[in-house]
Amino acid sequence: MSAIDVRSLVVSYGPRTAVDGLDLRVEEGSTCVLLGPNGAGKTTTLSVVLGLRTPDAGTVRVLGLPPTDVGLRSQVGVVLQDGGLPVAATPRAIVRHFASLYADPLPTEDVIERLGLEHLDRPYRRLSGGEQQRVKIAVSLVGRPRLLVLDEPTTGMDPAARRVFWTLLDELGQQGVTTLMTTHQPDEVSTRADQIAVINHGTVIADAPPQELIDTAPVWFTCARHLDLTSLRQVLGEGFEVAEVEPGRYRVHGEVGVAEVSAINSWVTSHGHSSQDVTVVRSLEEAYLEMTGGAAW
Amino acid sequence: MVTLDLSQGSAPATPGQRVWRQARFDAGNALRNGENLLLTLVIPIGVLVLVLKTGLGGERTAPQALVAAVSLAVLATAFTSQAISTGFDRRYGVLRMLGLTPLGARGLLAARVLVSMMIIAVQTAILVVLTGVLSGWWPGDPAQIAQAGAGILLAVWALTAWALLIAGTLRAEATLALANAVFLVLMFGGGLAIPADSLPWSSMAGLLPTGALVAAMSDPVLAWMPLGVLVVWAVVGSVLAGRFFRWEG
Repeated sequence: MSAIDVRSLVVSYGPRTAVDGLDLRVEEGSTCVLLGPNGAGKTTTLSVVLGLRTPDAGTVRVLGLPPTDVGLRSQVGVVLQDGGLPVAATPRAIVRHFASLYADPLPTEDVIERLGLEHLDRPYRRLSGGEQQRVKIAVSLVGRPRLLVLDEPTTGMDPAARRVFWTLLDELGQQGVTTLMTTHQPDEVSTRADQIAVINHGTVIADAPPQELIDTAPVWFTCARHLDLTSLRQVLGEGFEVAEVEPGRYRVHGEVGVAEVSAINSWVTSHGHSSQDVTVVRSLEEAYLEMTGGAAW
Repeated sequence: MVTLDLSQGSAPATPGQRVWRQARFDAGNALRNGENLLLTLVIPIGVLVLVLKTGLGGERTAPQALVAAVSLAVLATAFTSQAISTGFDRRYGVLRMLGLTPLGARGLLAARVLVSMMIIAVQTAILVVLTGVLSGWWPGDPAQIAQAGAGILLAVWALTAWALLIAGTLRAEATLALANAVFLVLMFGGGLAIPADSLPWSSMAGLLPTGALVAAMSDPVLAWMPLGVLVVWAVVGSVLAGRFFRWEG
């Protein structure tokens, strides 16, 4: 069963169409990440899923219910991109208060400890950006939700906090919790998400597991020395485009598989360069940039 | 490392529990806010003491001083403090976030009214005791106490509705400025700082919510007119707030 089912969604702000015929399905227990440039329609889509905005067209079901159904309020945990928490209260007071709105919340001290908030006794407004994000995540979890909707939850977090977050999300996925989130860190989700939906100009332009998207990305390789690419083009044959984009940085475009990557490595070493001189890169970020035409995040 | 068990979901707390807990949380935040305490408690107490001890603002009897101080406390709490806190909560997305929890938008509004009532009850108790200690006069007529209570309830309804209308339509900074300006207008215009009968607009003072509240609490016989004025302010404010209030800034 789909935890989230969005069909032909259209949302406009006056004359500007922010979401234009968007389709998205997220299976229960999976983690779906929305990637897209600023203004692509990610946050607007989340707003509709949360019932904060009424769509101009299309249908949306969340856990089988319309997004505005009051029954969802105890089943959905939320991290909003901007604010959302009382700025004068301490993290502990905030987590305890939100827990008090549920009949059987998680033990608040467990949530506080797990998110590393136990020593933060300053008001929320005096916390760093990463600390505020951790408080928001704690609040989103404390009511034992079945679905998490997280808008850029790792913004401002240091690498250690991000690792804690992703480990936590893995655990929750194993317990059947569904997550729909946005991020501007494609490479950190490439090994964590079950599904990546790339949104551009208000519509989903790619929707697949991360590895499938990575496989569509061009391969980049760098070499400490200048390379004459003529013979490499002959090695790779038809359907591949090889170019030196900037000195020492080369791009191979086409359906590059494991065999082609191996061929590139062999070609470089056969031309007198050590394999240590060469770094071959293929990433979700490259796939994303390719799909969105290099639009800014 | 602690494991968080989300395998079983949680039902929401009961509606009454949610509203009560939100009101308790908001009241705690309000009591920790120095500016808010100054506005809602220190100023009404200060006015009461000054009027009773120095006669500042015109000669008034102890009951008149108490009525003015309680009206000032109601105005500060149900209108100015409510508008400012709601305006900034709206700007910081707190209203939107709480609307997504089991509390919901209606629960939040109920909690906001409840917290005003709780604070006003404490303020009134303090002001009554202070009046008794300083002047020796204590309220004793049950009918008049009931009428004063009805007036306070209606004034809280009216002032809260207008506070939410302002906070839910203007930017937080504009709400802050307007709420303070209206506080001064209603304080002076309604006869809280100076007795209404000494004001040039004394015939109009009773049409303001504060003037009507003063009249409702002062009149020894059933004061239909001031209670009716408060109902009109409350209904108009509620209709406008229901129509124009926006949860997001």
